[in-house]
Amino acid sequence: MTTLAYDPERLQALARRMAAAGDELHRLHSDDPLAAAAISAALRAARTLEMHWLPVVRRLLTTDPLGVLRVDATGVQTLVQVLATVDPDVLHDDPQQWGMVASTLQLIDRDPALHRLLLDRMLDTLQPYAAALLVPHLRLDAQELARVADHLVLRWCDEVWTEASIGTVDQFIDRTQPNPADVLFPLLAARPDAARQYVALAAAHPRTVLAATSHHDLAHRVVLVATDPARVDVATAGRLLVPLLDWYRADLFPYGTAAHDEHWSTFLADAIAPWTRQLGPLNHDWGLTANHQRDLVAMLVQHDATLERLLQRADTIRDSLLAQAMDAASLDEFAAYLAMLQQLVVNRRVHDEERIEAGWQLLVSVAGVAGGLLPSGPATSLAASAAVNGVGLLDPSEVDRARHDAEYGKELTLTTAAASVADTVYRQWVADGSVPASTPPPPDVRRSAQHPALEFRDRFGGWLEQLPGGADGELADRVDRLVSTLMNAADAGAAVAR
Amino acid sequence: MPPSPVTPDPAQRAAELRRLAHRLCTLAVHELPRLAGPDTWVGALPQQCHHDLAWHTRALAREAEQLVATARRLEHDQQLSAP
Repeated sequence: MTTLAYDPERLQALARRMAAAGDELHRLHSDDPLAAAAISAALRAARTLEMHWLPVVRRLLTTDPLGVLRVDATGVQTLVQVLATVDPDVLHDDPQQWGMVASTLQLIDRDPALHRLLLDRMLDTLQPYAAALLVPHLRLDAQELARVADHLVLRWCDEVWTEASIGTVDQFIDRTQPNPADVLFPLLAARPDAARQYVALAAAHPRTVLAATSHHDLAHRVVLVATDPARVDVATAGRLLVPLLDWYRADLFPYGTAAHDEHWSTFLADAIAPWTRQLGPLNHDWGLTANHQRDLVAMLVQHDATLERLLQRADTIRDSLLAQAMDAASLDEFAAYLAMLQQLVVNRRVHDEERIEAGWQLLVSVAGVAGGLLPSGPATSLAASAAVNGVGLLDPSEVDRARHDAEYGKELTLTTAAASVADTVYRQWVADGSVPASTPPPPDVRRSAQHPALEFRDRFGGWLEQLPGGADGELADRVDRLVSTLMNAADAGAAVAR
Repeated sequence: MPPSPVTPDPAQRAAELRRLAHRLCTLAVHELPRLAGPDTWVGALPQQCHHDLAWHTRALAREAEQLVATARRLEHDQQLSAP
């Protein structure tokens, strides 16, 4: 058996018990000649302990005569050499031997120089899978973990496949083949900082993220953790996600290195749901061209499963829009975004009744957040919240009408957004005393009207006249500009989406 | 120091041998093979140590059995020689 390591605490306990046992053997005594053989046997055992094994154990504890146990540069290299010659699964599945390897790794880990040496050696020398098995036992900061994971998974993807690297045919079929991504991705998913840095590194070769692991939910978790809007800013999310989206776009049915990802289309929807605004035709957060944005959106809505998932994630889409600050000038961007959603999500792809309704509910729901996009103060936030909650759901007849009358659908969406903005502004004015509390609220959207936009416009004009200063006053001018921005600028988005 | 005289009473002598046998069986050295097992260290030398310790504990156990057998013989001889 190859000597791998030892447990220092257990070995110290053994030394103490050996010394005590030797003393006890010496204390055995009998004057009876019939016990002479027994006493001799006891003394032989005592001598063996005291003169042979106890010194061996003590020497091991102080000088490490077994060589490979030495925690210095030579020991590190020897350990890596030993690990390179054994079957990593056999070693890993033996709790005793693996426990000792883990103990030795912890000792190495305490010395920064040895830690670096071990990392270098294992990254370059060991099979990626064998090296990956060591990673959970090392203390790596987020940057190191990201670098190690990227290096090992990339090496594994790029190396010539052999049974040692990817396992047997049976293992491949059973998805139990040795795979560093399967070992490392759970570590990354548990550490958002490391996941973010890893995905940033792997953006240069997205297949290592999306097609290496045998368990694609692991890859999905890593990406979703890395791009969680609670942890990353808009620009970072773009740097991480766009290369992955482009990879999917280049190969719509990605058969991966390890196994086919059956849920890639729903994963795409989960990944992009918090960032749909960045795909709008007038948005420049990610520095994408209009064509690039359109291609990405087209990919997302090309697959029913992706689209369906996006509809299910309507709350995420709405919340993300509210969380990303806009200014009043961004309302035209929002209008274009709404028109894009309408053109691509509803008119082109949705065919069955259930999803038609979900699509329209999504659109109207998203339109209802328009008020929440205005520059926020406490009063505005409260007002926006009230406005959003007041949007309500479409009834089946409204859905059916929107389905058959594109103009009605467009009017309904944009008028909902405009009404949301007007309502938010009104509530803010009441809160800050700009208008008396007795001033009536702006009109809501009458969905049953032949032309909801025209009907809203008429009543909105009447409401403006009731504001202090009348329809030509400063307040009326301010809110009219916002509402008009939404209702007029949408044509740009629709045109781009077409 | 001159050796202590051994009691001439076979029964008492047998009892002393039985006590010694019991002590041989309950020595701390019998725990050592387990403590020196693969939970503590792994390799050729540790394996040799484990085997060596196991050999000594078996030898002590055999000596204990011998002591009990001798004690039994003493007791048997005494019964035969009893009037």
